[in-house]
Amino acid sequence: MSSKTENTGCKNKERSNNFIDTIQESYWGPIIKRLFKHKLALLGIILLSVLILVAFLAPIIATHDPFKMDVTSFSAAPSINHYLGTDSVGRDILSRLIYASRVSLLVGIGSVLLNVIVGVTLGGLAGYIGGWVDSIVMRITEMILSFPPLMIILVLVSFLGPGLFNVILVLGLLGWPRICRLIRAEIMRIKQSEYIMAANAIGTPSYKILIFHLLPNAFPSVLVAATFGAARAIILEASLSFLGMGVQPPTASWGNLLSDAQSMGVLGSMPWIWIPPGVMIVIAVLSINFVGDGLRDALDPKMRS
Amino acid sequence: MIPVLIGITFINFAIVNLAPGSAVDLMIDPNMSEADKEIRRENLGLNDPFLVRYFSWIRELLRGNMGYSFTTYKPVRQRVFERLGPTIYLMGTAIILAYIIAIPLGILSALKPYSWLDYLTSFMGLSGVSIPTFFSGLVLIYVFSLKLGWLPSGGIRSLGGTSGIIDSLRHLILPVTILAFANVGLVLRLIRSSTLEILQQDYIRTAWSKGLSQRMVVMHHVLRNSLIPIVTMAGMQVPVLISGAVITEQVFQWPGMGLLTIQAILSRDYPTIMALNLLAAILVLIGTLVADILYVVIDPRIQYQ
Repeated sequence: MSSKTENTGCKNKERSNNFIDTIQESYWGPIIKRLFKHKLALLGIILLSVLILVAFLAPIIATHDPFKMDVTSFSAAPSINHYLGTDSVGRDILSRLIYASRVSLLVGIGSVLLNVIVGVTLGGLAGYIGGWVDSIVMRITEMILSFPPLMIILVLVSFLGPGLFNVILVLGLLGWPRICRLIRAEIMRIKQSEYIMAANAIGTPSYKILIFHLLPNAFPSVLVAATFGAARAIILEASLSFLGMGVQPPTASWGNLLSDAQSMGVLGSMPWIWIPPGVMIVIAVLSINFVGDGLRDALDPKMRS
Repeated sequence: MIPVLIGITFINFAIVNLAPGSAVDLMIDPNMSEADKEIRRENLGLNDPFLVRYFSWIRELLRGNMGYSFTTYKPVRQRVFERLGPTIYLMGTAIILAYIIAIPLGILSALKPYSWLDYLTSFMGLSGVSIPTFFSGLVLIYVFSLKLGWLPSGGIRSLGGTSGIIDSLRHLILPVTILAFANVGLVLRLIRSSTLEILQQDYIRTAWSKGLSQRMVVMHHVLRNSLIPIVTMAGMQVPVLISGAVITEQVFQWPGMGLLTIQAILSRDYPTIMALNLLAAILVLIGTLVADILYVVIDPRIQYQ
């Protein structure tokens, strides 16, 4: 790794028209370069792009209506008509898989967005103001972190009523403490640095210091945490749907497609029903985690030569 | 610690009280008139203000009374505590196995960063957190129970017949493998990064320059120091483990707290849900506390002021 990043610093003094040289001038240039050099991260980016494309183009790609029941074939094995077979009520598995990718991506993006909004706001305030605001926010995060995530999520979702929106809401409102603590720690660290003192000295208002100086510097670590958070949210949604507490049929989600396999009959003799959704969850989550891993390495200042 | 504990009981009580439906609906004759129901509610104290009910719940809790299950009418305390053993048995075995695998691999991959072993372990670690336990559980049941017929597909021991140690171990293998695999990744990453940091320390340079063999440096200077963060990790892992146990116990029908959680949620058995949440949160707090204490005991450089 270190040998490859030698020439990414500010070594090249003469400006050339070369694209690679131009992006090296910026802050993000070397980071993107390092990210693409990380083999697993590159693989993750490719798989994830394909997945996003599939989710967007679902109506075009899907061979069947995901809700339509084919009365001529129940629990049919893969064939020419149904590439991945049909489920117990005759719906096309492949089309349901394709549409289910929308659910997972929506959960990943939606809940992490909520996490970031709540976490950055509270963490920013706690770190910047300190004092009693900080202690209250920290006690709240400790309380939330004390409940095993799946248990408290299960309870809340079952009370609010299962469904896509409630799953996103619950995951979003319970997942922010990690990001909050991260932001707080970063801001407390950066607050001590000289350029913040300088900004204070020239009379920059506090909110400007927080928004323009502190938060952008904490951004890289939030980006990494949010990426891993999205992967975790997708797994949690799949787990909830698997247990029958998440996205409800007939809407397809990879988790609820798998829940049929809780019966030994389906598990043993109809692998086409439960293996594909499982594989899709693994691919989606793994590729997001690869990207997160690559981002962490690429953003780590220690890795810069 | 104490404020967090009080907060946990409060959140727990509040959530269950926000739940739709009332406990009375289950206990009374549907033919009762609305006025009679009201009298019943009044007598049971359900019309008291929220805080009054909260404190009477706490008072009973401190006396060891967790109420009675809505579904089995057994005392909740008995119901919950008889499930604690199997869960700790499963989680404990899994975590020990995870550490046995993760510690040597983590140190080896830190000694040769960016080698094939490092890539392999980071791939393995990421797969561990990316493959949902219900899917890997189903795959293992499919392969080892249904196809090969080597191991039982669920339960803690065979019904009737032999129930010796061999039988118990045969039931343990699959769920423990799943849980250990899911946790190896986290531990591995932690050991790797702590070892990488330690390898940069002056005392390691001193050890090398004294001409010690690699074996000596690793076993005597690196190993003991890189194990320190694991202690904190073990405390932090309790919530993750309990969450993992919920799914794993459901898939393998393991009679522990996780399986009881799902049963209680599906049947809206509020007293049991509250007790389980509380117990899980207390386990997490105990884990954190023990980790904090051990941290000071193990590392003489850290002292509480």
